Amino acid sequence: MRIIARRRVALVILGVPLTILLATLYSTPAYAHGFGARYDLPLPLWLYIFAAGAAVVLSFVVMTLFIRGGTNPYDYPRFNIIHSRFTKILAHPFLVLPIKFVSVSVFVIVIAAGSIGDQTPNDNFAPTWVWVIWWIGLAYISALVGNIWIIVNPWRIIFGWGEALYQIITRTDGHREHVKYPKELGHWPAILLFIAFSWAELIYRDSADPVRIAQMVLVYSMITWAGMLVFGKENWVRHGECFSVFSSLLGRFAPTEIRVTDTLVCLKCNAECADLEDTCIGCWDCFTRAQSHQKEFNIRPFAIGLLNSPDASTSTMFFVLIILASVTFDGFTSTPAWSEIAITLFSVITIPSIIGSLGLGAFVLLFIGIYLGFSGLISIATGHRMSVFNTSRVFVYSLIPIALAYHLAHYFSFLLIQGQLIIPLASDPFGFGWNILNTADYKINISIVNAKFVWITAVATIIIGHILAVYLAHVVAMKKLTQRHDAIRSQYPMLVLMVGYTMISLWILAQPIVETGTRG
Amino acid sequence: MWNIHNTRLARFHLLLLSISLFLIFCGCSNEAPENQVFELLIRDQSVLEENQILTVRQNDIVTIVVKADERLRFHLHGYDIEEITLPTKPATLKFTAGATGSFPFTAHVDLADDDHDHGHSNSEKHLREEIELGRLEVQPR
Repeated sequence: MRIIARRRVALVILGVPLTILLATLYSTPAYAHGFGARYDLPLPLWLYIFAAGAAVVLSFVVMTLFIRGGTNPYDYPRFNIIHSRFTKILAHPFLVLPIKFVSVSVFVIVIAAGSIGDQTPNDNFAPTWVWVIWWIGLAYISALVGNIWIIVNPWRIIFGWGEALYQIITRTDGHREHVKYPKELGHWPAILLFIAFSWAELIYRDSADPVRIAQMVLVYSMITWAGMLVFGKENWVRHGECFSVFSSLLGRFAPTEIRVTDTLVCLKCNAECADLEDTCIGCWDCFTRAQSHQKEFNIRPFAIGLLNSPDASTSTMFFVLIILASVTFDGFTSTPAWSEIAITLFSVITIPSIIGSLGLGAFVLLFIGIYLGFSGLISIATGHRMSVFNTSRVFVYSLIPIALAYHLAHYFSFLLIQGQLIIPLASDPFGFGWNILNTADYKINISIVNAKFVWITAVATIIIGHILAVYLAHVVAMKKLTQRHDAIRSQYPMLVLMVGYTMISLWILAQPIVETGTRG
Repeated sequence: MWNIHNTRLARFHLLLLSISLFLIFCGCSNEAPENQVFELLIRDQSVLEENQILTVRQNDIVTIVVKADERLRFHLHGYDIEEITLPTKPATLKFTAGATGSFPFTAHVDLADDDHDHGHSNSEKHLREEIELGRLEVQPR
């Protein structure tokens, strides 16, 4: 298909979601009760103080014990689990085929259940799957196991099947011309889409309504497929599909990686996946095309992937900061402090969703401003050996462990308790009274996890995340600043920033949960 | 190939593991459960401030006696226990607080529809008349 014709098709495809979007915004508003009850107890004071103190003390321990000469971030222990003839089958494309079918089936069920199923959120598959199992589970799995989204992304799978069908019908080799993705565009499309998603998650009052979820999924599908049609599937996945970018960032923390050892394979990859050291890590397209002797599926240390990436681009840096801001804002909106702010603003701005939107926007700007400010201090401390912007791009990945730790700590009990709802819903996804898997009568067990265990796990996670962040920042500093005293000086402002961020995370966890109407 | 960097990484992971184990094995309590009795007085669809947070320990046997000046359906979320209270007949909820957490208790004013789904329906009429009165906090032992 020629480029011009493809652009026209893309415009038509984009017109559909815009029409749906306008229709949903104009529709009669429904009063959403709020989906997903939370029963968390706030962190007790003694544990809060202990965690805060431990974060500070261990930061200095890490800096003292581990601050040494620069290390090669590509020289880390890894174990290839597909090296033997028996384990090679794990990398066979046919093994992922059933996974892809399941992913697409679930995708279709979400849209169907949301559209025609029972509109009570707790009796419909769509809200629990999207907001609990998928959104929270995706973060957990991406960070703690690996970037599984590259395999199960339903938009990518369906588009790929469409491309294969097109090849069969047109009897071509599948090679199509695409619009070259403008390098200057970076991850900005993904950023805009992620902001829209965060708004829907945190502010939009109908976000728990099954029909609204189905509509949002359809809108996002059209946008994604239009992007793939114009720029090519892999290019759009890497730059524009916001959940792929999100899980790719978190996946750098994970203890697994896929790697193509012969980068000649990457010549056919239009996503320019090989990094500065001419290695291909994390590219599923190249991994599936490579021969068995050209690829590895490695177990590696946690967080090492945050070190062996090229410096973040400007758009990537902003994406990371927006993730941090939205995750933190999510927790902040459940605190009494936000409740007071919202009530005060309500006397002037009587629409809660505008108050929420202003809050989210303020948080994003605050995070960006504070981070750039501290980057400026680092630049000054190192005698301007790096500019403020270069400094901010170089160190931004080191903040990911703190955000990740807070996210994991904040949602741990919610996932375990509210996530159980998927068990009866798997038997009756539409709320029609079915019992397909004989689990429809399952009742949520709220005592599945004890508060003390949740507290200890949350605190341990946050302390570990903080230590990892400090360690990563010091390794980056030693790599970028060849003079040891420059590297040490650069870490003092960074340490203050990280301790401050960790304190905010702990403070939020120590607050009682308050339900404030920032929606609708 | 193992080198000095790998040794530092190994030490680092050992430090993290030690911290995790230390925190996870923080002590447990062997205190015996107690009987906890609360009396909630609902006037004009609200309770006194001192009754807005009821605190018990895990596995305590909890009794909540609810008296109201109108017909209400009292609902303890999480435990999902509900009883109707009348001006002439208080409701009594008795249960073992097996699950830790902070659980809101609410009152539903509209009792005409007996089929409504507590707290989980999008019916505007129903939700407008569910009032959060306070929370039961079940602390771990």
